[in-house]
Amino acid sequence: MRARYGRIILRFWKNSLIREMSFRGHFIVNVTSEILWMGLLLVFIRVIFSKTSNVRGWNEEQYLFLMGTHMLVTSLFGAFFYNNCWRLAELVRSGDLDFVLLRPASAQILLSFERVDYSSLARIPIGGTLCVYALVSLEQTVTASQIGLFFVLVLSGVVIMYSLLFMFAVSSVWLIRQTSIDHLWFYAVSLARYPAEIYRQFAGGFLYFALVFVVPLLLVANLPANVMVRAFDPYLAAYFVVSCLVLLGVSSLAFRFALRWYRSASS
Amino acid sequence: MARAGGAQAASFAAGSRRYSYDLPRSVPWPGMGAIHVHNLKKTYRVHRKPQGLSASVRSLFRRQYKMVRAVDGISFDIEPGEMVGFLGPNGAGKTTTLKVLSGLIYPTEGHVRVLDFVPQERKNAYRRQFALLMGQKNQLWWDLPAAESFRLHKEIYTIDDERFERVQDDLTEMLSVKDLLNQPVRELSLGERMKMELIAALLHSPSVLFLDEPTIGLDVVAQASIRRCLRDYNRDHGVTVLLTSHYMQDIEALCDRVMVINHGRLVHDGPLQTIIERFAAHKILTLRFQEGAWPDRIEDVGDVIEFNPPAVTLRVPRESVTRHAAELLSAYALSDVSIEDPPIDDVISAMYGDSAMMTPDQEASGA
Repeated sequence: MRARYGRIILRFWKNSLIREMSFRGHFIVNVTSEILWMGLLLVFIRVIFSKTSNVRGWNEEQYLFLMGTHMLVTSLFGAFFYNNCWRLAELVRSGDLDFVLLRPASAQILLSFERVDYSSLARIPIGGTLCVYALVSLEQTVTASQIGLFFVLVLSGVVIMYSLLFMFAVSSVWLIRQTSIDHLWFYAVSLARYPAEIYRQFAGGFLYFALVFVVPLLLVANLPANVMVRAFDPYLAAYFVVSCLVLLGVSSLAFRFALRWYRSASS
Repeated sequence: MARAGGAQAASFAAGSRRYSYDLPRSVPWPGMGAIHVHNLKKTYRVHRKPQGLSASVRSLFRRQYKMVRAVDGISFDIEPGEMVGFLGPNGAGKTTTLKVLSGLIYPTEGHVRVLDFVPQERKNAYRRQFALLMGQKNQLWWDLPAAESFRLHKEIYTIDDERFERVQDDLTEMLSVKDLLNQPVRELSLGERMKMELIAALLHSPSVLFLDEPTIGLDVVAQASIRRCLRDYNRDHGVTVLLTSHYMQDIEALCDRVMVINHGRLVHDGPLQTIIERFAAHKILTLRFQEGAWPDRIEDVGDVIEFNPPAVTLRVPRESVTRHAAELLSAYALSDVSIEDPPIDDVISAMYGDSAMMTPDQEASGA
């Protein structure tokens, strides 16, 4: 008998929703802080573009579209995976990972989908509005295949972020304490909010190379935004989708390897 | 508790007891053995934490480890439907053994088979057939009613609707927590929560149940209720149970057989009563003297436990207790004499101490 993952995940989502609804205050505070944060970023962009007409080839509308895309990606990632990845570290520390390993189903799936942070989804309509507003201002027509590719790349970006953070979290089996990695992660994700081109000039392009080809975090918003409002690089897009699949596989291998270690070391 | 069954239930007699199982499952027949453990050893590598700052800094670069043997070559077999108590002081290796049996950790040496599965292979077919309940841990969603956690279990264990409803009804009725099903777990008392944990562990009708201190910290009423549930469930479903507890009442009420582990070694495996016969070096002699019949040197007979003239309670070596009692009876006027076994708790704690002296070179931890 195989576990029916669709039904399990649906139950996770339902339970998370029931849980979220019992903390109405939490939901409202989160949504409010998301809106404030976005307002702040818009002011930041306005200030930049009052001094210059473009940043490394991105004009203000294109930049807004990039920001909207970044919101979509981080919102989906934040809602579905961010908390689950950190919970893994917590479960390792407390030893409660045992209970997940007892279940007759894939531990990685159980761990990765258990909690949904619905308040994080509030950024989706905000990011979507920003994208549509930018497209209208640009007076740009987009084809159905562009939109399709855009969503494929957004989802690939979410999967890449998930795979990377899941691997970080897996390292808690050896490191136990994870606070420093949380900070590292926060800065890495913040970098992806800006046009990728601005990183080419740092450290002889090393940072750009590392953030595109080693941990492809820089592309998670840039690449889908490029497809819609700027030039489209098919090779880079193909590389991105392939690296998404590869990273997903590697995260799964890393998890299994760590479990072997955890299971022979834990008491 | 209604009997699970219908056309698919298989039942058979073993000795004087009847077992009934729900199919489909690989039904362990008597003689096959539900749990088989042979020469199980588990060694942990533990970071030796140095004292002082400079030593701590040095240990950042060069760690020192020591090997700790948590389980040191234990062997036992448990038949289907048996309820076995697992006793031992903290750190004796009880939890480690339960974790090996659950497939959570690898044994360093030895063979383990449960229901004809090798636990560390962690096959889903095996994981559907057992449950591990830990009294000090919480498996239910804290902020949600228990009913929601149960529904999640239903999906993870692919329990069909009809069966799920029936089992949940039976168990909530048995533990009288039906009206608490829709209350968030965080609002339940410890006893109520533990009952919900037990239901969660039994929802998929496991054949083997590992219970690690299921009554810890509970009040007397809740303890009794959980005990009753376990006894009835074992009787009705023939589930094999391995139970650790610090409360001797749990073991006395539930287990015909007791295994005592200390420093990773099995020091006793048999009925609870034989522990007293084997390990109690003393008996408790209580004397009540008649007026004016008080002897001069009562402390020569044994250690005085309670001094309450004209009554006195003494701990007397087992082999000389009848002789002393007879001598006192003939020499003094006594209104009452009783000879009793010491409380089982005392025997067991003395046993822990004794076996520690038998193996002073062993370092044990990990439970």
